Amino acid sequence: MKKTKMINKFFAGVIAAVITATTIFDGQTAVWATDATTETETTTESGVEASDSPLSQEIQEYKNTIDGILAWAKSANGITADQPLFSGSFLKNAGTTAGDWYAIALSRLGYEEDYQAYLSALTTYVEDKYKKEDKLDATKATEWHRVSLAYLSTGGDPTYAGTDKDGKNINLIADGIYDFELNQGKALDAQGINGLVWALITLDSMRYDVPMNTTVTRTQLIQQILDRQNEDGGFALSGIESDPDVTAMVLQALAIYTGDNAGYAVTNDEMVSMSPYLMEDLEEAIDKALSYLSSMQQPNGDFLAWGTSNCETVCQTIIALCGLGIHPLEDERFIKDGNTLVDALMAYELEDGGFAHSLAASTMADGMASGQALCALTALCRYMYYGVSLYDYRNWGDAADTDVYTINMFTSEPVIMQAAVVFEAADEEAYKNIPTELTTEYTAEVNRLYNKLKNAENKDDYAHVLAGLRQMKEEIAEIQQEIDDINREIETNLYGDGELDAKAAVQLKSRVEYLSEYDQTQIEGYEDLLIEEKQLISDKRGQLLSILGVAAVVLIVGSVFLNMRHRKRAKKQLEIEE
Amino acid sequence: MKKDLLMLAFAVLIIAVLLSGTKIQSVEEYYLTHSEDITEDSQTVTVSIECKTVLDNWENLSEELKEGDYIPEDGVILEPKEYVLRNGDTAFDLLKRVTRYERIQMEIQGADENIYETAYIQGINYLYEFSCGPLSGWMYQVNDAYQGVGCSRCELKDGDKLTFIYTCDLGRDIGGNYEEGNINE
Repeated sequence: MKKTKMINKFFAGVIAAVITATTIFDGQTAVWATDATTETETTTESGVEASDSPLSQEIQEYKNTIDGILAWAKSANGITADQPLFSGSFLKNAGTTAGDWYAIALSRLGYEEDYQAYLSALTTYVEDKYKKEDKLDATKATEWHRVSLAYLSTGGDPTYAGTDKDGKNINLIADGIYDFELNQGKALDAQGINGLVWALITLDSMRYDVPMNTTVTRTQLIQQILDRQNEDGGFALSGIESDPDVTAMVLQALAIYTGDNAGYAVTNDEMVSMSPYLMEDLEEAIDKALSYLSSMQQPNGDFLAWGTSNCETVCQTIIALCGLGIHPLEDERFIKDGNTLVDALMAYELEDGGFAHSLAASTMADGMASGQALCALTALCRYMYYGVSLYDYRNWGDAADTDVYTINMFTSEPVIMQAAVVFEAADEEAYKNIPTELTTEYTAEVNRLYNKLKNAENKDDYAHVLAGLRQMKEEIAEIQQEIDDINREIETNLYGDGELDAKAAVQLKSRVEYLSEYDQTQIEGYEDLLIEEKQLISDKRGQLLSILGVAAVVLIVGSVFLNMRHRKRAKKQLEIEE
Repeated sequence: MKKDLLMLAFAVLIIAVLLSGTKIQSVEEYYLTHSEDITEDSQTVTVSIECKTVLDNWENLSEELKEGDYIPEDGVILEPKEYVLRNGDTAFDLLKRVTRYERIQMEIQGADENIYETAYIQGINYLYEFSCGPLSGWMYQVNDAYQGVGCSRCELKDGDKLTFIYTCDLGRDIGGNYEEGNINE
């Protein structure tokens, strides 16, 4: 009997031990899982597997709307439906608000696009801007932030964005965040809270580290943002009158510190635990901001800002909720009278597929509104289908570690953006189609082909093409230089403090006429130059005629006088003879 | 002989008068150099540019602009003046022409005119967005009402009044608070 009791006790002990061990180990697994997220960059944020089922009706509708925006954007930029959006004249928007949000959204969706071409145009834009004193902008740090996200979106690296005029590397993350004040002489928030918000979003996009000695740390950025929260829970660009648009963007920046990563800042090297007091304040701030936003939502699901509704506010709110892991269509706080944020968003959709900025003032589709609508739909798809946030750029999925890729939201296939560049026959064809009479109209195309071939695996097979492209780049650079010089002279002498005389005007005009027809369109104020030149010439002509006139008068008077004298003498002669 | 002299003097006088007062131009030249002249049947728009709010926010103004004469004493960069309105001109077209004609510095973003995006006025007379605090920048009105569209989207009509106004408070200090029903719907 005693033996059985002992055996029972023994087994009970074993069972107890096993149970205890399992509980402990489960806890351990959770920690390991979070560690795993930081060490390898191939697991999904929430571990959710993409669904194998066909697209749900909802997602299909979103895809249709997305395709509509894409179609509108193409036609608005004179691009045919079969061409990628990132081509032709659209590439002129690379580096600006008008283009970057499309690159960001389409890349996050995993659409097939010419990311190479966009990255090339982006690099050219940045390198050109860096030649000037203000670089990307005199005051707005957000220019660096958006452009950095655009680089990441197209397979580039904003920490190696190009070379400046001294041949040094351009690091947009450094220049736009922790070195911004040093370089530009303006605080990050000189443009308002946006400078802080987007610095944080960009910093966390790839979990970048900040250097040891900087004061621009995540803690500092979060603290500065929280300090600006208004009484009503909302945030303003600057001041005490809250704005739902700005509040939504603040939420996007703070969202990363909640959920799976609550209390932690995830960096490239480690997971840093943040001050628990700060994190408590952060959670509280988020709650208050959400209450504010919810209270600002109107019965039709939309928001009222400055007495009117606009597309962008709805978009930013959708993105914010997705980032926080709040389902925009299911959370009661954001459904009013049965109307959701998505209902409000779709009200701005126009027949041609584009989105309007506001219904009151314009029924014409707008590039910025459409771009933000695209981002909102992207955030929705990423959240609903994969549980991933819009601005998380870490690789996850099945492509090789060395590839730079994105995941197609609708097929779950990886879309390679910059790996294994191969110069193709079509590219050589494009090269041959560039006319010998170069104009700046071909700058984008030449740069695209050159950058592609330069990085191509098979570039040795096309050595002659590379040399040819290099030659073209030089020629175009010379033409561009001439255009810039002429523009500067017109700027100074025609509109500024300089003076223009007839001779200089004629010279300037002939320089312009020497340019090709396309390049002439790049001259600012050509019409005014023509007017001024004609004016100066006719003035000169007037002067000349006056001189001639006087000379003619003198001659006439002189000859008449002589004639008179001659006749007088002749008369006298006759008189003498008589 | 006296008659000869008299006739001669007369001829000389006429030639002198004609030459001093006449500009000899081709027809093309005439139209080109007189395109800005206002005649009875030309369509016109009155344009003005002012930055009076800066005077109330002097502490926020960037240091470089405090010296020199960047900010006029009365805050008026351009007094209301009539300009020729050409067919299809937008508020942006007018601003471009006016600032060139009057030699006022201007910087713009997005000058490529297409239906995709609108032009953005970054600075006029060296006064830029953010030059007077984070909520400062340029806005414009047509007939004393804000248009709610970018200036390159706003077509003007004969007799319109176009004003470019600098705000230091996101439009709230210049009646841009739409809740007052100021927006042109």
